[in-house]
Amino acid sequence: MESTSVTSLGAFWRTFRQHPMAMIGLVMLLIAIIAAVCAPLIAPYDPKAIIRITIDDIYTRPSPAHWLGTDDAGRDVFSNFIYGARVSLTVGLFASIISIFIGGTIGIVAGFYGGRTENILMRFTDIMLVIPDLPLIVVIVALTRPSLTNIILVIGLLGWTSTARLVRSQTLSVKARKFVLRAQAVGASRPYIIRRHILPLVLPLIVVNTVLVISLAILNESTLSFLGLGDPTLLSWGQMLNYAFTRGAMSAGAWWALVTPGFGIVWVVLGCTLLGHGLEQALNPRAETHHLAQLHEQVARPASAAARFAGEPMSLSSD
Amino acid sequence: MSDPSVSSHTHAASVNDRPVLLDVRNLSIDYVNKDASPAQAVRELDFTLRAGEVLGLVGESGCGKSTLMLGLMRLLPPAGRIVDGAVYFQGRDLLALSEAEMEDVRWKNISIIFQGAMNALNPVRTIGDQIGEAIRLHMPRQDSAAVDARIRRLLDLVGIAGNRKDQYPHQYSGGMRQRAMIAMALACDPQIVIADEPTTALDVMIQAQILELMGNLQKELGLSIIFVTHDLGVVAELCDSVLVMYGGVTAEYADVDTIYNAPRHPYTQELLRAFPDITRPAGKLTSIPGYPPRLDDLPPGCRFAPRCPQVFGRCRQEMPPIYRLDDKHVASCFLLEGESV
Repeated sequence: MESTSVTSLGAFWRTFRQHPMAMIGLVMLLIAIIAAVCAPLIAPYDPKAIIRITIDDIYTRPSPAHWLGTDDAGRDVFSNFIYGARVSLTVGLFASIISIFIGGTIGIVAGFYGGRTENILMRFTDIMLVIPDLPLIVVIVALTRPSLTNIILVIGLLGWTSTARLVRSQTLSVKARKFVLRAQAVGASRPYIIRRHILPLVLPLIVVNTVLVISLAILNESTLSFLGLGDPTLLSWGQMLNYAFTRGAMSAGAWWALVTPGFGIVWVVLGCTLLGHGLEQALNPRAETHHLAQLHEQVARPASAAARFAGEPMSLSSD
Repeated sequence: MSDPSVSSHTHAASVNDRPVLLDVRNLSIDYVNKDASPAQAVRELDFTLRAGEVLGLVGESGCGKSTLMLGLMRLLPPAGRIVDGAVYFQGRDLLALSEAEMEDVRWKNISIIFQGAMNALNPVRTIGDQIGEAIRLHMPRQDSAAVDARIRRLLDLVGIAGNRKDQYPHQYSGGMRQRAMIAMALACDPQIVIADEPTTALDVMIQAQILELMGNLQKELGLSIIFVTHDLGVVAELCDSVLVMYGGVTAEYADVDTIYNAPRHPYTQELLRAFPDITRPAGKLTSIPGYPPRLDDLPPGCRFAPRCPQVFGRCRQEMPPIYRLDDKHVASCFLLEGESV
């Protein structure tokens, strides 16, 4: 058992490596994660340290002392940027775990059990799907205390709808396959069939979806912070944008205060999207390469072969 | 057995003394339809299966064979409803069991070899793992080494090297997959194995191998087998008795020699005429014109009437009852009314 799972993991890695986009996405995400984890080692200044500043320290241009200039409070933008990755990635990771767990469970249960269960769960999903996310998130966060935990919970609890729909449709197609009937004939209970027969075939979809949901959660967090609903004690990229926007970075011409956090958001979201797309191809190769796509490669005889048979057709009639 | 052409079939004779394992009485299965009347897939079916007996279930596609088999295990698709009858397994009515009790009966007492082995195997799990599934579900106290040993023994029984248990279904050939399915069916030592067209989609050489294997296993393990098939050759070779179904009802039910040598129902006769016989090479093969009836749009009288060469007026108005011709021979045709005992 151990050896087979290792080889299939190896096979997956070999397929995965052939997708340059996926590799780029993976590297982009890894860089972001390393930056977040090793923030104290990379960032030249501690964003929380108490500093004394003068008017000249506000919105200073990029210089050797401050690679990306300073912000409205005279703090080092590059250091803020590095530390900001921590908040964005934490929110993205935990919120998407919540989303995937809820969406996956609802999707599998609805798809597998069908009937009234499915109807209730899917109508609930539809209702959640048509409510515009952002206004609802804004309202809920405004009503509760804007802490990191609350933001994670709200984003996680509202972001599962598309996952539920996707997982349900995949479950429906797996459920119709004969080995599910066989497992029932063996006397397996329904939870067992879900665990051992449905889940392994739905899991690739869930993995791909997780990566995409992460990027959505990061975007949502940035939006919230930008609107001033983020945790005020934590410096996220959205928060940096918010401060820069509301505290005159535009009029001061301090483009670095705006571009830097924006770049961070784009970097991580793009990385997630590329990785998700690549995973999809690696986990489901048929999605991309149809067997008819390689038809032009099928005739592989050397050019000389054509010449050899160009003469008279072979005939059985001899005279 | 009054017919002189019936050869003595010693095996069949001995089978008749054995205890009855499965007793199906008046079983009727519908497929419910939201806006239409239900499709009557199986109607008033009676048969028995004795220990060590091989019963052939014969009929065209769509005549309710698979529905009947799934109904016995209570594994019908969502629209299926068992609307009448009883299924006694060793005296216990399976239709009266709770779902949990039924889960215990499945595979431990009755198992299925599905047609189309590729579809009946989960592509992302190893063969051994899937064979072990049944063992683990029904004998949970066994440790993994014992389960492992049993998987190897089962694979060995069907002629597959034990070390191939960690391979995936796509690494098996078609015949091996079917063998693996047989091994799976035997995993919990069931008394009854339902073989639902186990040789469909295999080439003739592999078909012969699989049938030989099943015949040997049957003798070795004393299994009772219900063999669902289109292939009358298979029936002649393996079965003790034959149930011919048409449009969800019994056309004729008798032991194998009677069915072959003295068929009484016109459908059985036509079916045999459509099957090549090596002893009558000059005989012309015929086909039965038309199709089996749609189960949601059945003819008012006998279900075979629209295609029957010997049809007469009454057939189109009334459904023929089942006439008992002798001890072990029943058929449902008005032509046999006078001979009923």
